[in-house]
Amino acid sequence: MAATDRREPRALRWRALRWRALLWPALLWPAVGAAQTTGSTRFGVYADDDDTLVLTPMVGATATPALGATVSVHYLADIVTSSSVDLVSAATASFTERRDDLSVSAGYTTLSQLSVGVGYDWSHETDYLSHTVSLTLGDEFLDRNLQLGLAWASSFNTVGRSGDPTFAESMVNHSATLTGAQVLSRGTVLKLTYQGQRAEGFQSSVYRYVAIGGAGFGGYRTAEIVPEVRWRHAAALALNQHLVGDLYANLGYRLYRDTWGVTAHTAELRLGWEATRTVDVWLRERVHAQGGASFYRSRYDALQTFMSSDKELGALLSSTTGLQVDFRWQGVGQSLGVSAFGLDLKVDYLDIRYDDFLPLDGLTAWMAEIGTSLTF
Amino acid sequence: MKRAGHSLRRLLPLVVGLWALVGGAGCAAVKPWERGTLAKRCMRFDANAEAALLEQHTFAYREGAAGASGGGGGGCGCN
Repeated sequence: MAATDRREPRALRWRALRWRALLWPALLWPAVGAAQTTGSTRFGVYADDDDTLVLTPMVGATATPALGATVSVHYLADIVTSSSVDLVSAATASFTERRDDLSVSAGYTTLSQLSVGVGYDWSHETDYLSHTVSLTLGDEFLDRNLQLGLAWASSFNTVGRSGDPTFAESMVNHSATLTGAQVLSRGTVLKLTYQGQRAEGFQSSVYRYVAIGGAGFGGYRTAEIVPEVRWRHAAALALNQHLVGDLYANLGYRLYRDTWGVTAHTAELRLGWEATRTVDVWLRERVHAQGGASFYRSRYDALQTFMSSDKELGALLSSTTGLQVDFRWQGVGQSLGVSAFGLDLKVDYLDIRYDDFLPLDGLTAWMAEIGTSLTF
Repeated sequence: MKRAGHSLRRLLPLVVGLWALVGGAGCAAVKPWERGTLAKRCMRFDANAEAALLEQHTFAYREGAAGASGGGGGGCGCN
């Protein structure tokens, strides 16, 4: 099957804008006059047995121009090459595309530990454009044993369709997040988080089709259609516990429900070993189980108001097993003005089993990352 | 839509009750000079925010659930 490129003429407009957007932070950075700056890089690879490969390079910088103030800039790209069964069902052979994401944020923390932050994120690919603004507030109480946080984000999206420059639909997503972290003892800290989201607008995939009727004569395909409004609720609990000596455990659980009928339970256990003063080693297991959306079917007998065969909206069980090694060196390279250097390596194996998805019983994937940071 | 609203109303007392429970336990405040272990990277929730960001994006794309994993949320910018 021949690969296709989703790039369209209208992408040319964005290409110019994109590079201008990337240039601005670089030009403004020296003007910040930062007292301390941390630069970071990250490179992620995702490869699954459903013929999807995602490369994600990322660069970022965070500066502290004044006591309590931080300014950050991050850029990442998702370069996706895929000939997944999803695409075959959408009558598309394969594609390669790139998403660019640029985010800037600024924050200020007072001496009394009240913190405020604002952020903006721009994300673009040839058939999708997203602007997100965010606001965060945080404070500490009870002799700094209790931290409370509130975050708001609004995302304004324009959905396009490859090969159809006239197609443009909008989708708006608002989210509110409440966070509370409580120190329970010298070696235990607990965090509770609730996040509510409301998405309204065009949320169907323009490339995904559903099968109606029999598999043979008389069967046909039509575009998926999902409700225009989706309320999503997620409540999470995380517990970090010092076990004994240099061993630590991070436990997490999340309950998720939405108005499309998806209910999910996600549990994670991470075991950490502080091998030396500069090396941490992590093992982790994450399990995610979800029930499907009320209107999800792998195949429909007849037309319905809402229809989707998106496997991510069906019932599934996934397991992620991983190893991570973090290196941190303080005080090295001081002659070069470097006060700290960090390196982390991470490998995860993902196994997803689908309850009711005709083209696939499941998929397996490897995810690997390497990250570096330099503090001046 | 009502179902999720009902589940949220059921969830809220549970969250408040749990918080009251842990808040009560937390009354034995840990002093600043007793926080050596709490300051370790292995005990921090935000030890590697960039790696967490990439991971959340991967899982949000592969699963039908998302949220409450840190960050403010927003559009994935993907189609």
